[in-house]
Formats: sequence, structure tokens, C-alpha cells
Amino acid sequence: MTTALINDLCCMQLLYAQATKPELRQITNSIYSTLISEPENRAILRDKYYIPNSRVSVVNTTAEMSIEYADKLVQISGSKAAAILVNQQLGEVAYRCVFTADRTPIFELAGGASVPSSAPTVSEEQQKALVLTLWHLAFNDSDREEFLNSQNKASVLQGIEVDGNALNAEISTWIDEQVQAQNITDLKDFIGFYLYKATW
Amino acid sequence: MIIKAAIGAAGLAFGAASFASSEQLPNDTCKVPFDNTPVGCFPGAISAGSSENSQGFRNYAVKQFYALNWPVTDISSRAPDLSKNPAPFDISVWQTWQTKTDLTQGTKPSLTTQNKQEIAAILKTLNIDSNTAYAQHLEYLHDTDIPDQDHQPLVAIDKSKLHFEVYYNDVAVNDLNNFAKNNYQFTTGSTTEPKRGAIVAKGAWRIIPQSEYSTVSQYHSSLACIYSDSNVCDIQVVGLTGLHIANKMNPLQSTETTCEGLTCKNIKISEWSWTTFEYYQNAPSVASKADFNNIDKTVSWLLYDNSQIEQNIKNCTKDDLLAINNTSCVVNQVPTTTTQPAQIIRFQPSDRNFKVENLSEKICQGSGLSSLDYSSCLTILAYTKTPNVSPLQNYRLIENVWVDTRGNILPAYSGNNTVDKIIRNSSMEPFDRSVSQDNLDCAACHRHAKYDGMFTVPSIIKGDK
Repeated sequence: MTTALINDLCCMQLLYAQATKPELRQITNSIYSTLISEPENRAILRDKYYIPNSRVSVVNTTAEMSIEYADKLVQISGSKAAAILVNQQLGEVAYRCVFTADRTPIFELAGGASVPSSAPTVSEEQQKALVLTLWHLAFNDSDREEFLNSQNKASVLQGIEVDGNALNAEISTWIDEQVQAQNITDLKDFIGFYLYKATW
Repeated sequence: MIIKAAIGAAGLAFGAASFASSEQLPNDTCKVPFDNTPVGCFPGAISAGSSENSQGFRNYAVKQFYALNWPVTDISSRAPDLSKNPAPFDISVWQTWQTKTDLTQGTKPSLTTQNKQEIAAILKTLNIDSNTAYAQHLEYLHDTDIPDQDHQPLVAIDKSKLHFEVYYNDVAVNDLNNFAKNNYQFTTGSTTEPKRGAIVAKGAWRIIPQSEYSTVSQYHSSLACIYSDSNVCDIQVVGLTGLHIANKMNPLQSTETTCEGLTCKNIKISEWSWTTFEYYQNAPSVASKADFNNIDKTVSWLLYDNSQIEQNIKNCTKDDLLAINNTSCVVNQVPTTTTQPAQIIRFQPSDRNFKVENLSEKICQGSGLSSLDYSSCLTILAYTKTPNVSPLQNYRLIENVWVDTRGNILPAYSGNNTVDKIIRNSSMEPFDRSVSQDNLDCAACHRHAKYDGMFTVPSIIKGDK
């Protein structure tokens, strides 16, 4: 497993933590607007919140995101264009970790600025379900393999329940359609848009 | 007695203090911490990674609540006293702003000798020094019609009517004074070049009778001159039941190149956000028959009569769920007479794991909270700790509503639970019980206002009462 993939998996773990620990999400979000005017808060966000909450067990060892990787998240979080840059980052990470068989980055970058007009609006509860479902698939190889090989991906997605949260039919079907049609950038934009809304 | 400056023919009255003129923007004397410590300033706008997500808007709303409720010592300055900490019997910054009554040049009664004696007697009973801001401030409350609710009053269980007033910060007042020149738009806040945007706050107040003075410290309270068309003051103590704050603080521009219908209307008001904080025991939260059964009968709800629980279960539930469309269901229904107490419940949304009235310091430090639950915990966690112990701990964030750059009103609800799509402000829109297709809430309502999302503008710029 490459360092780059480990970092992306740690990022997925951070998304899980942000979606399930409201106190973590509340305080990290409070820091974002201070990152330019109070540079000392950058290290706090990285070392106290991002890195510890990114820890995962990978191949019988514990891994956490690298300082450089965390620094990039901190930097885009403090940007005026965070809503675009973080969307883009999270879309890339989740796509790589869940929707690719060999888990290499896909060359085709998404814009991060908007979501396709055909995409359903995702409620706050379903945003959380989206985070947890993608997190589950990122860390469960057999389920991910089943998902990637399935002819009915919507059904597989709906069948995944994490902490009582599961995606509904409308969202699962839309994701399925984008995968089948190979609408890679649309899917990345959609995922990134809602992962940002649910975890940042 | 210092009375708020009224708008005059020559122009507007502004406070002279430097912090008031900076409109509580962060500066060298006031820095906004990222933790949950209340301070007397808050940023001019939402920014960076807080933009375009509900957590960011909720965080901003809470920090705004802390700052706008910062205690004032010199009322005429309209500035927070940064040397003080929140405490019982404070007068908050927003209470010193000009009101709709001021701006429409409404006539306020003069205090009589008897009024002054009544004020002195109340202060003595409450053991409050006459030199305090509390002793020197009066809320002048005339309107008992719920704003924008077709002249309908809201009558509490004790048969007293709630009173409403709208408060404008100096930016909003200045905007209104130059409204045509500003192309009928209010100022939007900014952090790039620190600037405060227009803020319009709506307060709902209840009269606290003398028999309840022992519990007055549970409320953010004030002395008030309650008056009618007779223009005579009835001196009372009033407690805040709800504070609805509209702030133009989202400078992000829409990325939509084409929009249609309501989406366009939403985008036009997307620089505003709307937040409601309410007293936690206004009304019980209900979404099911079980919720009715679990109403805490030891609580004297302001707007709900516990003796009606069985009747409401019979008339307002079906298959264990709330069924407010039943013809015999009277909860959140306009009463048949204007003197009859309302029966108000708060609709319990599915994005809460706890009822807002049940949140406590212990629950807030525990597990199982949703993101919205935790945001509502922030005032509890902040105001129960010294040096900030304050009755403001009893006011909970009900929700913040905002519009994203796609024109979506957020938060979005799933629709699985019908009551999710009904507004939950018990003291501001108590009789809204219909479900809309795209979230019946602040933005869905304000987008229909003639001027920049604000309904009270026509009456002010025309000078109507």
C-alpha cells in the first residue's frame, strides 16, 4: 500500500470522525475562519484535531495522515475558496478510495465548484449516510469488491448500514447511474460537494 | 431614564463610542476565540471552510448570539462593555438598537411620576441597583400582533399576550436612510475588508407577573413600558421568549449561470442568514404520540397546557404519529378568539436526537448528539461556566437557515418525517403548520419580501406605523 493511499484512507477516517463526533466538527469548523489571521491555529488544527482523528489500522499497523497531507487540508480549509477546494479534494479522495479497483488517482480532475443539475438534493441525515457508506466501502475490501462488480450498485449501496444510517434509493440510484455512465467528474463533484457539507 | 434615540427629520442618531461604530467587529481589544468562550465581538461575515456548510452557519450564529447579547453599561453608546461578563439582569447590545417603533416615528408614552415609583419598587423587589443598565433601560412594547401573521396575537397559557419588537443595527438604519441610493439593498458583511452587514433582530417578550418574580432570573429580562393606543405606560418586567436574527453576512456569490423561479428568488436573498434562539420551555417538542405521552408535566410551558395532553393525543395523532391535519386537532391552530391561549407544540425534526428542552450540561457532554443537537448545546456549555453564568443558558439555537450558491434553502430535510418541513419557531411563527415543497422556513418566506428579503422595510421607508 502506497503512502499516498494510506493518506487518503486516513482522510476517509477523518471524515468518519467529523461526521460522528459533533464536538470535533464544531470546533474544527470554528478554527477555519481564523487560519489566515491567526497562523498559530494552523498547527492546532493539524496536530490536535486532524491527525489524531485520522488514525486507522492498516495492514496490522496503525497509520495516521502525514504532516504534509494534513497541512494541505489545513491550507485549503483556510482558503477563501475553501468551499471549492475542499469539495474538490474530498471528491478525489473518496473516488479513489471507493470507486476505483486499483485505487490509483484518476487523471480526470473535477472542478469542485458545483454539482450536476441532475443530482438529487441530499438532506443532512443523508449527507451523514453518504459519509459513513463511503467510509465503510473504503475500509471493507470484500464489500467494495462486491460494489464495484455489482450490476445493481444502487442495491448494494442501500444495503450498507453504518451506525443506523443508510443511503436512500434516490441517492443510491443516482450514484449507480453515474458509475454506469462513467460520469467520473460529475460523481466526484457530487461526492465532494456533500462530503464537504457533512464534515467540514 | 434614558430612552433610545428616535429617528428625526434631520437624520439618524448614532452612538459615538468607537466599538459601537465598529459594530462589534474583532479588533485589538476583542478577538473571537475558536473555542466556545463568549466574547463581545464577531466576524463581519462567514468565511473560509465555514462557508457553504450548515456547521459554519450554526457556529457563526452562536458567536453572533454571544456578541449581540454582550452586556451594555452605557446604553446610549450602544456598545458592549468588554470589561464585563454575561450575568443575570444584563441589558444586551441589540436591545439598545433603534426599533421599528423608533424608525416609524411612533409615539412613545412619557413616564409619569407613578411609573417612576413603580420602576423603583420593582428594582427594590428584584434587589437591583438603580445605577445599573438594567435600571436605566426600558423596552417600549406596543405590538401584540405576531409580525407577518395577519394581525394575530399569541396568547400564553397565563392569558397574557406576547409582545413583539424589531431592532435594527446602525448599519441597517443607515442603509434604510439611503435606501433608494443603495438600490434598495442592505449592506453585506465582509471579512476581507472587515465590515459589518445589516442585522435585523425580532424579539418576542412575555410579561412576567409579580407572582413569578422569584423565577425571573431564569429569563433574559427587562423592565418594560407596555402601552396601547391610550399611550400610557403599564410598567412590567418582561422575559425574552424568542430572538430571531437576520444578518446579511454571506458574501459568497452564486455560481449558477442560469436559474429559474424560486431558485432565482432564493439566490437573491442568499447573502442573508436567519437564526432563531428560543427559551427552552416555550413549548414541548412533539413528532409522535409517544412524544405527547413523554411531555414533562412538571414544566409550566409558556404556550402549552399540560391538561390537554390526552385530548391532543386523541385529536392530533394517527398510527402513533403526529397528524395535525385532523380537523379536530387544535395544536398550533389559530384560536377562535384573540384572547384565548394558544396550544403550541414545537415540531421535533428528525435531525435532532434529543428534544431541545431536554438538553442539559450533562447531556451535552455525553454521546449520541446530532450535529444540530450539539450546536444547540453551545449556549448551555458557555453560559453555565463562570465567569459567564447567565440566564442566556436557557436560550437554545432552534435552527439557522441559509441559502447556498445553488439556490438551495438549507438545511434540507428528507421529507420522511412530515413535520421536518414545518417551521419550529414556537414564539415567532407559532401557527405555521403547513408543509411546503422546498422547506417552509425563514428563507422560503423572506424571499417574497418586496425589498431585499425584509418585510418591515415598506412601513419604515414610508414612515407608516
